[in-house]
Amino acid sequence: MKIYLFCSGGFSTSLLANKMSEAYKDKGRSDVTVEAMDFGSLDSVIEEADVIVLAPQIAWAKEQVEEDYPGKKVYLLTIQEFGSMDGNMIVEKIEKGE
Amino acid sequence: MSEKRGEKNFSLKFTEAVSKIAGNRLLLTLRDSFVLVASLTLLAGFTVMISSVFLDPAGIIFGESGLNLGKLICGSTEAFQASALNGVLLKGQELCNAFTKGSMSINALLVVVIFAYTLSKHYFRKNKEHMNSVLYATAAFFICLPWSFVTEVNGTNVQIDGIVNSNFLGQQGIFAGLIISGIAVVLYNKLSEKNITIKMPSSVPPAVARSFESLVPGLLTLLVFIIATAVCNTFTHTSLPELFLSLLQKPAMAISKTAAFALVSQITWPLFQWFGIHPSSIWSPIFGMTWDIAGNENVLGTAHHLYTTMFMNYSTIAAGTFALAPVLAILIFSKAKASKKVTKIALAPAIFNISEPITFGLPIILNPIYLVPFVLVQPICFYIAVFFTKIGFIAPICNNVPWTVPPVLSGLLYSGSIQGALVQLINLVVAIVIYIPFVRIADKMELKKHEE
Repeated sequence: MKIYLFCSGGFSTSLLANKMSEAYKDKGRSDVTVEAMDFGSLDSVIEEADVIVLAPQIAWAKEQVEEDYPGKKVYLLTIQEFGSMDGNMIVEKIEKGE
Repeated sequence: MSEKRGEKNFSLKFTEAVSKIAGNRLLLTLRDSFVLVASLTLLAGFTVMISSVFLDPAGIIFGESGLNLGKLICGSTEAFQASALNGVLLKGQELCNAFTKGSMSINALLVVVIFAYTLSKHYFRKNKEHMNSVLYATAAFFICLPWSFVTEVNGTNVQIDGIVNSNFLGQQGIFAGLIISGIAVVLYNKLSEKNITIKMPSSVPPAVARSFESLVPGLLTLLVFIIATAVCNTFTHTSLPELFLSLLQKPAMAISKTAAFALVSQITWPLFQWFGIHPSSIWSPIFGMTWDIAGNENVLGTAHHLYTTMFMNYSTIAAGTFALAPVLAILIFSKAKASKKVTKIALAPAIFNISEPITFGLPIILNPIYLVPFVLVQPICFYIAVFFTKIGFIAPICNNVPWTVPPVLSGLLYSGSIQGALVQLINLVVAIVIYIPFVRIADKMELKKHEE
């Protein structure tokens, strides 16, 4: 399963992506990859993405992404979720959503 | 009670309105294009910085204004100036500065190509070959460019034909590049979609017919620009890029030089951020057409603009106003456990001026306690740097450095002088001081919550 995180520059989400990767490793889920990219690159990776996670500062993008790519699972993180940088918490949220 | 609801309503409406603008497809396309092209100009900016900070024989490493290594190694300034070392440094500078030939100096051309591609991708998804959009946009651009050059030879003006005026490949052609490229892509794709073409007689083999039919949208698109160029030449005796430069680009640049523009940008930037909307979503396209151009001219050495994007980055973001200042203020002056916990995660990114962990984690975003310092710190620090530039303590910023370089070091690189690093340090300290009273208030509220 490929998870892609998006924010404006890709810097802050790369921290969260690392934490989420660690969380998945701890769970023994080697089939999951988590990557962070800047929002401009969304089009180029959307084909291979299973789950899209959006950072709150690009909240306006959720509607657009869901419209453009129906069928892809899109999550929008809240300010608290993003600020916590808690990889485990986000992983739980995604797993429950599945 | 109704006051709070009124507040919430305003906050929601404001966020909605700004989000709508931030999500606007055209702004997004512009922004994506500028970001892509910027990867090249940033690289060239970096090499120019290396050249002017580290290699310059009169700079802060080898020159008398700094470590004076030149004199140290060669014995005296005169010996240094005549030495092979001096020659090597100068040659090194030449090599570093050459990067601008492939970036800033062809900025408009890069914009044409990249904008055509991103516009095609965002607006014309059904197009299976976006490179066609790029092809016709580039062709249109060169059809519109002036292909003659007036230069002075032995005191008289001589016109040389058959050479593209390279000024319009660079900074002066950016608006022209955007407009021509945009119109070409829209025309070409709309004509292709509407299947406007010539119908070949049925006796012609279908594959041959198709290859002719695909030419028509392109032909019509370019014809539009040929006619426009001819009309422009006849009535104004200049080219379209020259027209765009004087009617659009120059006025836009003039507006961006005003104090009002600077003030509005520096107040709205943190304001948008406080509402949780990334400010560059809105300001990047605007800066791309104004302050970025001014900055490129500074890097090229063709101008010394005060207000540039790199000046804003130098005096605010890279000085730690959003990240390091609040983190340090809390680390040093807060006693609340929860806040200190956040700084543990936020400190490392904050050193590299990444603000999200602290702004989203504390949070500062949508937190009324931190609204005032967050919005005030940026313009205050910006104008402190303006003050020091106006009195001549530091020169207008002429080096482009990634804004993720830690504060004080980045000041040194941006300005090429110790004074520049000092001004950044002053800004960092001022920012921390502004946060302190609000950190104390936040502490008190945290304590009250625990007591309840």
